[in-house]
Amino acid sequence: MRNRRKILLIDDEEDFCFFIKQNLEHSAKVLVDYAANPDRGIAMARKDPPDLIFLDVMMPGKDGIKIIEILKKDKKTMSIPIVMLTAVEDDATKLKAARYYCEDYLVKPVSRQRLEDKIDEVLNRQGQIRA
Amino acid sequence: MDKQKILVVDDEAIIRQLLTRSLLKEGYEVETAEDGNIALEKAKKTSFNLLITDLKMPKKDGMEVLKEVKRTNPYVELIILTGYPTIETAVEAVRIGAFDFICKPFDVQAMLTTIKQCLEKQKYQIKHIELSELMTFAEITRLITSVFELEPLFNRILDSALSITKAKRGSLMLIDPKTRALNVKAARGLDKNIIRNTEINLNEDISDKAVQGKEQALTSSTLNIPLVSISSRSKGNALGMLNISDKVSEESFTEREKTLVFVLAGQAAVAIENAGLYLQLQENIDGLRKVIAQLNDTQNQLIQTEKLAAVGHLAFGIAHEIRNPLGIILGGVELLNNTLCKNDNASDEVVGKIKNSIDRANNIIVDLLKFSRASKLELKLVDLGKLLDEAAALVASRARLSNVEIEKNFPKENVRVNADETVLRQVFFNLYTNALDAMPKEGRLKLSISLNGKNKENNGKKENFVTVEVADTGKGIREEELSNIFNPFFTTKEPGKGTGLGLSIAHLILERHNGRIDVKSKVNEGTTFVVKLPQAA
Ligand SMILES: Nc1ncnc2c1ncn2[C@@H]1O[C@H](COP(=O)(O)OP(=O)(O)O)[C@@H](O)[C@H]1O
Ligand SMILES: [Mg+2]
Repeated sequence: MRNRRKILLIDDEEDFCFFIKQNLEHSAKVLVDYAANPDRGIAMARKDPPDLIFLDVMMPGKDGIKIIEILKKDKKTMSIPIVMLTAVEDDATKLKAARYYCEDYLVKPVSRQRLEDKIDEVLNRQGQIRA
Repeated sequence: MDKQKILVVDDEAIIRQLLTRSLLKEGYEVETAEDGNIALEKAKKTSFNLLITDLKMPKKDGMEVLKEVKRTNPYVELIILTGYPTIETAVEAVRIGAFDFICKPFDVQAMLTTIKQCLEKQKYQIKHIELSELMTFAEITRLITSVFELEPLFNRILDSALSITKAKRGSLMLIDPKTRALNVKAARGLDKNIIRNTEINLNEDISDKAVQGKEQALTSSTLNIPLVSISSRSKGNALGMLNISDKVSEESFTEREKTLVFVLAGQAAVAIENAGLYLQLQENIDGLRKVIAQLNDTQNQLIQTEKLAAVGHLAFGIAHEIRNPLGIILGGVELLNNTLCKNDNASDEVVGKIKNSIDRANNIIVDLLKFSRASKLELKLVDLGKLLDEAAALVASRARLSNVEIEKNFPKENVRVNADETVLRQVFFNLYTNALDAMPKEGRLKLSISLNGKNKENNGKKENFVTVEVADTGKGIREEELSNIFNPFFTTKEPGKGTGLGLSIAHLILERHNGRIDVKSKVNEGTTFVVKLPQAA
């Protein structure tokens, strides 16, 4: 098992991505890559599948729902747990994301503590399944 | 002008002839009678202006004749002619109001002068009486036409008729337009039971009777005067009947009284019809007023609802535009705190404050989004008591901390409403939270559900409403604030403590459930919010 889990963050807000990466890596538990462009994010996930993806919903080009659909239909990426991390909160979007088996749906603003707890929770569960 | 009529009563033919000749010459109309009975016969047929009579006559005494004639014709003048004057007869003559007391033999010329004076006096007296009668009559009719309430009007008509005719007993009956029965509307001097049970069915058309009525009424000792419509819509239709009997003095009705009471009946019919129209108009106006008030109310509610729905719509559109920067700010400030100024108390405090502000901004978004959530309801049958309990559980620990006792008064049976559970729970949560905010130290929060709330007409069909009351013993709401509390962003709480959206949300949610919310409050005593919801069948 790798020491530091790899997280991929797909979000068009560059500043947000930067702060999250800094905050999460600060605890030295995880490594964070991010993509501010949806297509690049998908490519990154395929090339080097991370342990967990944080995915935004509203992005130019492709929205998060489209991305989760693509990733969950691709054999290479379908087993990667995905947590929605977005400023959009409505029942319809939540429902769609749930239909593609997202792990959870977090609404911004989210504290670092909350993100870390979520990472632990999802990855532990994942570990148990693998074990 | 009619000739003045004189009846000469004397058993001596010579006197009758003498007087007749002289009186005819003067232009009077003259009749004669040789005894009292004949005199009475003639007086019945003709109403004389003057009676000249001897006192001592066979068959009937002159004094008796006078009394009797006077009874049916009170305006008749009397001159007494006697060959045997006594003090007693003179006194008696004065008592019954004789104009003069002349002893036989008499001077014809002097007699003619006396007659002339007598009739002159009578003319003015009659004029005077007629005038004062007319004045009373005018006053009576004026009073009648100024009454618009039916019951007082009926009573006034009857009383007027009785006073005009100087009668003791009477009733006013009206025809019920549906059943065509005569109902007693007012009565005087009649047994109460009789009145209550009197309902005369009319098989024959009463308007025929109305025409005959006049003839009949003029001859009988009871007057039955029809009340006949003169309005253009139902002209000639009988409205009812005015019945008068029992003159105070046991006399029969004079023609003048009959005429007056007939005229009165005409006025009364007009007044009754007017009052009916007035009443109808009043009812229409009242109905209209109610409709207008309802419309205003509905319109206000609608405006409020639309305003709030628009807020929800807008909030939904911009929520993520605000949350994205909030996410960045939070991330940035945490980064600062973690890396750049680690273990610095001063910066910890600053970071804490920034985080609080982020929460505040986010709370507004959360609340605003509830408006848009209220627009997309998922209705199902919900147990209201259970829902109130669930919402209460959410504030239970807070209530305990501030010594607030929660008291419940729910009916035994389950009360169900059609509602979106999540959204409706929010309403009561908001109300409880406000109540607790108003009772920081101690107090009582009373929750009650009642079924026997007022029924509300909805599109013509009655709906049963459930009433929920959320009552607190808190600080209350000031009069000038009451009208604002349902407006979005109205709050009296410290910054960060309230968004001013709780009640607006509650209002919108209830409106969307076809319910409503009202408030009663007294400063320093407490506040009660009254929620009404349609009860599920
Ligand atoms: N139970 C109550 N007792 C006293 N005041 C109340 C109560 N409920 C509401 N209010 C008044 O109405 C205002 C608006 O309430 P609300 O819309 O819930 O917004 P907020 O609670 O955020 O201020 C409150 O600020 C308060 O002044
Ligand atoms: Mg509130």
